[in-house]
Amino acid sequence: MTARIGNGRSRAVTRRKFLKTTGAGVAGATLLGTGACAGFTPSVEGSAGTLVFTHGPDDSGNKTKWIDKFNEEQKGKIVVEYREMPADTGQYFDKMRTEFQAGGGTTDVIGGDVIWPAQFAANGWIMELSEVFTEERQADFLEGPLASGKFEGGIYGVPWYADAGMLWYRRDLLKKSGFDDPPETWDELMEIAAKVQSESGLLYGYVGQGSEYEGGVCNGCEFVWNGGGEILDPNDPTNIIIDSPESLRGLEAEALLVSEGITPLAMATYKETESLTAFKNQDAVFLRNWPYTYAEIGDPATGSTFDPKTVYDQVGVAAIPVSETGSKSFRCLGGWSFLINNFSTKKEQAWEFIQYMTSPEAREFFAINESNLPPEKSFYEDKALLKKQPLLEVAGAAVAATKPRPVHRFYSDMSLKMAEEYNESLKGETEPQDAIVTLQDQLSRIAQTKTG
Amino acid sequence: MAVATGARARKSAKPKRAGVFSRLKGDFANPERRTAYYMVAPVLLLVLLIGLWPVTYAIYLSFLKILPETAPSFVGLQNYIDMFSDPTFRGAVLNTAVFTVLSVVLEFVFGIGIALALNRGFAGQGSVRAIALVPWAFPTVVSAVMWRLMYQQQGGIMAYIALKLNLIAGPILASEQATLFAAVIVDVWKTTPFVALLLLAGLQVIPADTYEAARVDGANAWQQFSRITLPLLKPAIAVALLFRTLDAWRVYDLFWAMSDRTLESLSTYVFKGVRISQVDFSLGDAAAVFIFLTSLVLAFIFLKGLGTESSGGG
Repeated sequence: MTARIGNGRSRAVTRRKFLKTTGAGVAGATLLGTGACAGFTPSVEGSAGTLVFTHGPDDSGNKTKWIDKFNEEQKGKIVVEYREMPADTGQYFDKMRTEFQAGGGTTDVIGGDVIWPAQFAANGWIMELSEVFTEERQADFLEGPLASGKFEGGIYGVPWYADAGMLWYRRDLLKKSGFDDPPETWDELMEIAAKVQSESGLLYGYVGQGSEYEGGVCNGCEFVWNGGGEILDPNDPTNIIIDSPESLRGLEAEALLVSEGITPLAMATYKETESLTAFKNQDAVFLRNWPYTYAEIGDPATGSTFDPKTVYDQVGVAAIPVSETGSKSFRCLGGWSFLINNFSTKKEQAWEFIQYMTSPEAREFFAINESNLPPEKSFYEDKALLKKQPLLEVAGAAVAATKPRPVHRFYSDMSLKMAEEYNESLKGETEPQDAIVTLQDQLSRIAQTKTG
Repeated sequence: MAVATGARARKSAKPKRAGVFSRLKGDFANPERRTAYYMVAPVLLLVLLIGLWPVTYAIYLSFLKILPETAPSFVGLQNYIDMFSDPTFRGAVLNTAVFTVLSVVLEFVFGIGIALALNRGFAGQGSVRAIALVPWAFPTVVSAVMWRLMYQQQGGIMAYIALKLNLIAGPILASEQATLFAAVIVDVWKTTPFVALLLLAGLQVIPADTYEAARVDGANAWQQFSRITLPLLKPAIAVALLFRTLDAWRVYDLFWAMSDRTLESLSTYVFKGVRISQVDFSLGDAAAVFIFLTSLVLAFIFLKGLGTESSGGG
C-alpha cells in the first residue's frame, strides 16, 4: 500500500491562515474561536493504532457490527473508533467545518454527505485519492455518485451508498381510472392526478418536499433539470446558466401543480416526513421521495395504512416526469461518501478501512440490512442479491439516472439561495421567472467570488 | 427657564469631570484606597477583555472582506453597503421591526392590565400570579415547537380555527406574513406574564397614601391612573420596555424553531452569514454590528426618554 501521505500543505494553522480559511467566528465568539486556535497543533487522539471514523447515528447497530468485524480481523494493527455525528447533515457539516478550521480535528475517515467533497477539497481539508482510487477502480461506479466526489480534476470521495429521488405512484388507482402506465411528463401527471383524485376521492394529487431546506433544493433542482435546464456550467464553475427558458419551464411546472390544486400549498412546509405521511395515509396519488419509502410503506409500525401483503402491487415506481416527451429524466443524487482527512497521520490505514467498507461483502451486507443502495453498477445485475433485496430492482433505474447538485466549493451558499427561491416560487410568492433571474444573479455572485 | 437649567447643568458637569481626575489623584495618594484600586483592576481588565474587546474586534472585522483562502482586505464601508442592498437583509430588518413593534406594544397593553388586576388584593392572588407565569417559564424553543404543531395544516388547532374564522385562505406556515403574525402571538402569549410581573413590582412600591390624598382631592379612577400610577410607574415601564424591545430586536430561537428555519430575522441573518455561508461572513459580521449599534440606540432612547428623570432623582 503506497498511499502518499500528505500533499505538501502545511499542517500548522497560523492565525492568518485561520482568518483566511474561515472568516473567524461569530462576532461574539471571535474571542473563543481564536483563543482555541492559537498554537493548536493537530494531533490524533487515542493510541497509535486508533482510526477515528465519523458518520451519522447508527440506529440499527449494523454499522458498528460491521466495524467490529474489521477490528477483530485487524487486531493489534488498527482499531476503528466510530464517532457518531448529528443526524442532521447541516449540523454534521458545521461540526466538521469547525474542526477543520480549528486545525484539522481528530477525525481520520469521514462518512460525509455527497455535497461535501468539493467544499472540503477546495480548502485542502481532504485528501486527493487518484493514486489509490484509480480510474480502473472507478470504472464500475455509477456516474452520478462518482461525479459528486470530483473537484477540479481530482477525486476526493469514494461513494458509500447512493440515494435518488423517485416517483412513487398508486398503480392500483391509476389502473382503476384507466391508466396503465405512469406519466412521463408533468402535463400527463397533472391530467392523471386530477382524474384519479376525483374518481378515488384522494386529497392530493402530487406531494414532494417543498420546505426551505436541502430537500427543497433537491426537488427544485429536479424540476430545473427535467425542464431541460442546468444550474452550473459543467465546464466552468464560475458560470451560472440557470437563466434559460428550459429552467423556467421546469419551475413553472412545479408552480402550476400548486396553482392547479394538484399539490397542496402546504407542500411549501413539507419535508420528507410530511410528504411520506400523506402517501402512507393513502391521501396522495403521487409522491416524490427517496428509496427508503419502499420499506416504510410496507411496515404498519411506521404508520402506513397499506396492507403489507398487497402494498407492492398497489404502489409503483417511475421516473420523475420531464417537461417534454422524450427528454432524459434526472433524479437528484443523495447519499454518502468516504473522505480522508488531509491532516490525518494514518492515511494508509484509513484507505485500508475504506476498502474494507466498500468491498463486495460490505456492499451486500449494507444493502440487505440497511437498504443502502450500492453505487456500483454490477450489484444491480446480481440476480441473487436482487432476490434478497428487492429494493435494488426497484431503485436501480433511479440510481443510474442520478445527478449531483452543483459541485462547487461554495455549494452551501448556493443551497441557501436556491432553498429560498425554490420555496417562494412554489408558494407563488415569487413568479418562477423572477426566481430564475434572482438565482442567476445571486448564484453568479457566489460562483464568481474571487479567492486565493 | 429652560436656558437656565441648561446652563446650570453645563456648569455642574464641568467641575464634576475635573473632580474625577483630582479624586483619582487623591485616591492614589492614599495607600489604602490605592490597594482597593489594584484589587479591582483584574476584574476591570477582565470586563474590558470579554466585553469591549470582542465588540471592537467585530467592528474591526466588519471593515474587512474576509473570504476563504484569501488574505483579508480592508474595504471600508463596502460590507455595510452590500448588506443594505441585500434584499434578504432588508426583509430581515422589516420582519424584525414589525415583530418588535407589535409584540412589545401588545405585551405592554396586556401586561399593564394584568399587573393592575393582580395588584388588587384578592383571595388566591399568590397562586394566580404563579399560574400566570407558566408560559414564561417554558424554554422558547419548546413553546415554539409546541405552537408550530398547533399552526400546522395537518391537524393543527390554530390552523383549524383560522380557517373556520376565514382569517386566512391557505396554510399559515406557508405564508411568510402569516407566520410572522403567528410568531407575534406566540411571543405575546409567552412574554406578557414577564412584563406583567415587572410592572407589578413597580405598582407595589407606589405608596398607598398618594391615592388616598388624590381621593380626598376628588380625583376619579382615570385621573388617579394617569396622574399617579403612570408617572410613578415610569421607571418600571422603562425597564420592561427596554428588556422586551432589546429581546425582540434580537429574536432568533422563536423564529427558527417555529418556522423551521424559514422566517428571517436580523439574528438569523447573522447566523446564516457567519456560520453557514462561506462567502458572506463579512455581511453577517456587519449585520451583527448593526444589531449591536441599533440596540445601543434603542437602549439610549428608552433610558433618556423614560427612565432618567426618576432614577436620576432617586
